[in-house]
Formats: sequence, structure tokens, C-alpha cells
Amino acid sequence: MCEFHEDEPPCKCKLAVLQAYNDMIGDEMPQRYAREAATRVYRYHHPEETKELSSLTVERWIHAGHFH
Amino acid sequence: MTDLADRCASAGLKMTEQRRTILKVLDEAMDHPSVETVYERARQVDPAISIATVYRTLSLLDEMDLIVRHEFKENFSRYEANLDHHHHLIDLETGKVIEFKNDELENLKHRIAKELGYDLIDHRLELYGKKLKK
Repeated sequence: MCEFHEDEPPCKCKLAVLQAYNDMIGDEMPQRYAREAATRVYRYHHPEETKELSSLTVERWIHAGHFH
Repeated sequence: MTDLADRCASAGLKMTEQRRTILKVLDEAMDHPSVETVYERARQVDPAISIATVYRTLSLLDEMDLIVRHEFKENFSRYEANLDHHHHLIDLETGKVIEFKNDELENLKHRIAKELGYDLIDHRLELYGKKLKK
């Protein structure tokens, strides 16, 4: 499981979440599928969080433009 | 351009407006439309399209292997865009997405649908996993 949750220090789960999102988009999957995959990865790292909060965090990361 | 139109252009197919319309219909189809259905949908976009144009275009695309022709237990063919069909395995630790194809899985999906009394039209499958430790 992931020890870190916030941006600093670098978070393993955040990289994994953005990697999953980016890979799915790169494979021309619809955004909603990419978002779902990214959220599942996030929830694996943070099973303690609610679905709603997990989705919000993933949305925030995706829209922050941290991918690529 | 649609995905299919992109692939047709790459394959050297001369692109006309009517062909483009037919490709768009196929690209957006969530089912396996027959020639008549493609014709009806295309006509809603361009009423000047004739069924002969639809037949010719579908035959050409079929020859070029850009669409798949299905022969269900009917007296006519149904078509779909021949997209590179594959599934994804997502590494939960790293987020890496691995593409894979599996003929056994393809057959199984169709068999399950058939056993339930259906023709398989669409599906979605993603595997999530953790890399095995060696």
C-alpha cells in the first residue's frame, strides 16, 4: 500500500494513477474508462477512502495536468 | 476524421464526402448494422446517398479488411469497424496498462452470450492485478 497521500514527498500512488489514466487515453479509450481505471488504481492504494473522495482526488490529479 | 476514416486514409482509400459519412456511421455504431441500417443512418446525414453507394463502399472496406462482415443466422450481412480488438490488464502497483489478446477469451464471450440466447454485440473487460513475486 502507499505510504504517502499528498503531493510532497512524491507519491507512488499518484504516479500509478496518472500512469493508468495516461496509458488508457494513449490507447484511445474513452475518458470515462480511463478515469475508472485510474480510480481503481487509487483505491487499491487507499482502500480506506470513500468512493466519492477517491474520485475527487483522481479528478483533481488528472485536471492538474500532472500526466505526460 | 473518425478512427475508421483515419485508417482508410492510411490504407490509401480515396475519401469522398459520402464515403466519409458511411465511415462515420460505422464508427459510431454500437451494434452490427446491416447494409440497410447503414443506408438509413447515412441518409439522415446525407439524403443524396444511394444504397448502391453504401453497398459499394461496404464491399470495398470489406475487401480492404477495414470492416468485419458478420453472417448471423439471417439472410443478410451485418458490419462493424475492424478495430484492433484487445483488452487491458492494469497493474495496480504502477498503473501500467498492458494490452492483450486471447482467442480463448473471445470464443468464451460469444459462447456465454449464445448459451444465454444472445448474439454478443459489445462488451468491456479490464483485468486488474498485482505482479507476481518471482
